[in-house]
Amino acid sequence: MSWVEVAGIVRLSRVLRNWSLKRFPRRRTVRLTQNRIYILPSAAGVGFIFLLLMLLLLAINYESNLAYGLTFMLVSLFILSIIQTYANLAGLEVTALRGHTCYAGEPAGFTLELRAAKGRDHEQLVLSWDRGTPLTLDLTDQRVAQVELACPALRRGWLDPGPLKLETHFPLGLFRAWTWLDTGLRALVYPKPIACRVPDSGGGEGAMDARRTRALGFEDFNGFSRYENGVSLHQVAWKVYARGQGLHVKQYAGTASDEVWLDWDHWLALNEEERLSGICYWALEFTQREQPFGVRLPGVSLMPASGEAHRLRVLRALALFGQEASACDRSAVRR
Amino acid sequence: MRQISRAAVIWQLIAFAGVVIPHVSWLPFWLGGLCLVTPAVRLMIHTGRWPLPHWSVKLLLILAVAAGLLLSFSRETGMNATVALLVAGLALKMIEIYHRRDALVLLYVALFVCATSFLYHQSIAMALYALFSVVLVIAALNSIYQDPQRTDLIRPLRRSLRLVSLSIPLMLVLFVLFPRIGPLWSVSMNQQRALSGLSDTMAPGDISQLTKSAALAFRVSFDREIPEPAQRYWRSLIYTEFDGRSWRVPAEYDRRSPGGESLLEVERLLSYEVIYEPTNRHWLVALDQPLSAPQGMRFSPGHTLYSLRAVDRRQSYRLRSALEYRLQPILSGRDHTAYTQLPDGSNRRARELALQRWQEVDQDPERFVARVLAQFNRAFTYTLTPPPLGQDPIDGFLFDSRQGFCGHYAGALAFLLRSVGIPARVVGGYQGGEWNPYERYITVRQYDAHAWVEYWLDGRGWVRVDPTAAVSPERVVEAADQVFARDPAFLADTPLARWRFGGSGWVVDLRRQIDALNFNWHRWVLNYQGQQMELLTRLMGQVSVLKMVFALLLPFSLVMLFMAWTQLKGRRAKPRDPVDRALQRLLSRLARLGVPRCSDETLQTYTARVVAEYPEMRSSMEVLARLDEAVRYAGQSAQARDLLAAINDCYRALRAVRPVSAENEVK
Repeated sequence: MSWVEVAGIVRLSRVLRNWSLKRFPRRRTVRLTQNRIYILPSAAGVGFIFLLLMLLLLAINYESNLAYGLTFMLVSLFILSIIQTYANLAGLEVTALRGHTCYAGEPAGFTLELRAAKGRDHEQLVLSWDRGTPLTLDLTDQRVAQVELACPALRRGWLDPGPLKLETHFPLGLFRAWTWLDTGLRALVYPKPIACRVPDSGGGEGAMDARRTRALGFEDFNGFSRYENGVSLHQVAWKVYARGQGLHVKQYAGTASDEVWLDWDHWLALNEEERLSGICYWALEFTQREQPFGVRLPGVSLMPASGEAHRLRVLRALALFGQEASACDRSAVRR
Repeated sequence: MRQISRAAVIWQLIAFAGVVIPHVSWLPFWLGGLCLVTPAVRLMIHTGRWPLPHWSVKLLLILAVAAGLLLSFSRETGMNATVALLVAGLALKMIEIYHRRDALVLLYVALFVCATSFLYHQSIAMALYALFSVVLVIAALNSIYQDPQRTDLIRPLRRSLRLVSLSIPLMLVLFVLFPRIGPLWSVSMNQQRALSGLSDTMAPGDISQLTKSAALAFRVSFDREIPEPAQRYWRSLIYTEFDGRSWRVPAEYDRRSPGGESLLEVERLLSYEVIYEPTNRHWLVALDQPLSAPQGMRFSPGHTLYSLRAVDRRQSYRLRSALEYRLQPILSGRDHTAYTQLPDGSNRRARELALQRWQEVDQDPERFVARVLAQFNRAFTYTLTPPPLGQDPIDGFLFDSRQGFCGHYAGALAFLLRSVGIPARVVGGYQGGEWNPYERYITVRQYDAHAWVEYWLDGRGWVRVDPTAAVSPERVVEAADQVFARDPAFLADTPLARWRFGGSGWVVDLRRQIDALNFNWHRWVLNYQGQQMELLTRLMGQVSVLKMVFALLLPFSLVMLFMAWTQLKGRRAKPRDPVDRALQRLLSRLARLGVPRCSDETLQTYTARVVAEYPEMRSSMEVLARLDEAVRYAGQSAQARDLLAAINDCYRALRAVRPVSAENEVK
């Protein structure tokens, strides 16, 4: 925790941050320069200043020129460490690559690429969003590093992690150099899957049971097929893989022709978010079993289908249900 | 609360040891022991052999140490107690170094403790050692901020060395320019005991004690003219009271007549600077008769210099002295009585002798002195080990033992003069000193301590007479170490010094060079406040605030630019692999010849381009391209050595090649 926050100047720091972010247009790759690197003594640095004053007092009162010498040595180390700490950030190139989808309640990952300035080391860089665990890394042996920085996703919809903060105390901890970057990254957060009552099928009332048992029970195993990209990992026959026979997918019989509808109106007892969570749960279930299903939401209707693409379409619709309009304009702003 | 890494814990131990070592010599032994035990305990915890101590153990330890400090330092409140407290705190903190904040407290206090070691030792070696321990502490500081996964202990040290060496230029600028002001409040080291040197009472044998010591008394550098050895009388104390056994400086020494005796008709003026070693006493030295007292100093009634504050640290002052002068030509009746006072009833035989001689010379003071000196010369011997004297020391010396040291002669002569009513006093100080040809200054040591006599002549004032010169003229002309060299009592307390200070040829030469180095160290570093104004005036003429600001800013910004440049320029990426390194060398040479390799080009396509420009490179370049392909893509690592050879072949071939552009110009 920096002393700025301890001192209760949170608001000032917020104002400074907004001002700093407004000064620069959003870009995918940002090279850190003196324009946007801020540097102030850290709490340890303030302690060090106090130490310097004590030493100076000692030197003056005992008229000890060697103590003066030591004091000035530390003063000049202190000043040098401004440059050192600044140089630890300066020249670094940060590229915002992408945000990864996740379910509400999980941390959403954002991939960032850091590229060291030519011929220089950057050590102990701390990356953080407003929330979530900060990540520390060294760029000493390799010039480029890709990191995934997590930000907790509390609600479904687009997650904007806010500005990225990059800070460092290296090498002596006397100064804190930092910068804020508007990465423009966002991650799509799906509703949290919550198991709920079995959904009705979209067809008539009478033929329920047979189909429902088929839909929910465990169908007959029908053999393996070769793994192809995009197939859910749940269907991979891991035991076969473990035997060293390559990636295969378990096939189940008799699911292709059945259609199930996940209907908004089916769960009248639940509120809006709970319904979305329920639909999400079943959508995942059906996809795993390769059971085609359709989704009916107010104003949205997705025809029954199966497979990865369908799943993504459904999850996206669930995630953005009711908030599409407000969030979609952001992608237009980018670039 | 961030935990520090294992490498960082080791570094804290090293830094702690580094700053505590200089203090071990004077700390009470139990504290030294504590400084050994707690790092050992921390090491046991570090290696997992012991658990972290329970809070009750820590509390017990704190109480024990507090009790120990109270017992050891209850009578002291000065710096010793403070430093001991800090060291004890460091030692205790050592056990519970665990979080980053603990380490920070430890290291900051360690830096302070490092600075306090200068209050005890100020030698060049100590300064170098302190620099070394700063490097250790900074390495320890760096170690707590580096990646906790790193276990390399050398890495923080390397970084610290770099940081410290980079910060030296700015330190020097600050050291030279930062204005020195006097102490904000009075502080004292609690070393009240007097250091070796002159004392304010002088029994006949006292000064010969000093000849056992080769300790430095003071150094003097003259601006231009240097006085002859026989003229180097450094006056320090005036002994006016005699109680029958010993001579004493009067108690009201400091306060009576602040101006001192009047000095008239001064001639042969000399300017010089004295660097005076600490004595914890008030008196100072001056060559013969200084014209005025510098700041913080006064003249005693006998026109010697004394400091208003006890000299508890090395002090330097500039003086102008006259070698020819008249001192106090008119003596008040009260002073006349004081300077002829003798205790009744002692040393009767000496008094009788004096009166008898006084009649013989027709009451002429100068002839009287000459007479006594002649007698000294004829029948007395000069020795550092005189026999003990009885109840009446003057009688015993004059009539029985007839051998003695300068104190005996001076005391006896002053007594004889006073017996016949001539005002006389014994002057204590130093005589001579060793000339250092390397830095052109005079070193005066304790064994140069001397005593002589001043007697007063009506109209002429005080006249110096040195009875020792009558007995042993070489004592005044030659350096003391030469004169005493064969006397077993000389430097008896320091057997090694005898070899150091006797000796001849290159030994003396080497000693003088070392001493010259120390002199410069004292003058330019330890006592820089005395030189600063003069140096700055010499560097930039009249010192003004504006000039000081510029003088500070200019080197400051230059140094900052230099530091920024070294930080931001980065280092040239130098491949570790010898093949890559050789290849880089080859490619950069080719680039200079006008064929730079594009980043997306394979060596194969590049070779084609090079050969097009320089056909003579065809064979060697093609070998290289083929080998490169074999090593890189066919995985034939066995050919790596051939590849290196091929690269070097190319490089050699390239040296014969002349640039295309140059050839074009020729045509």
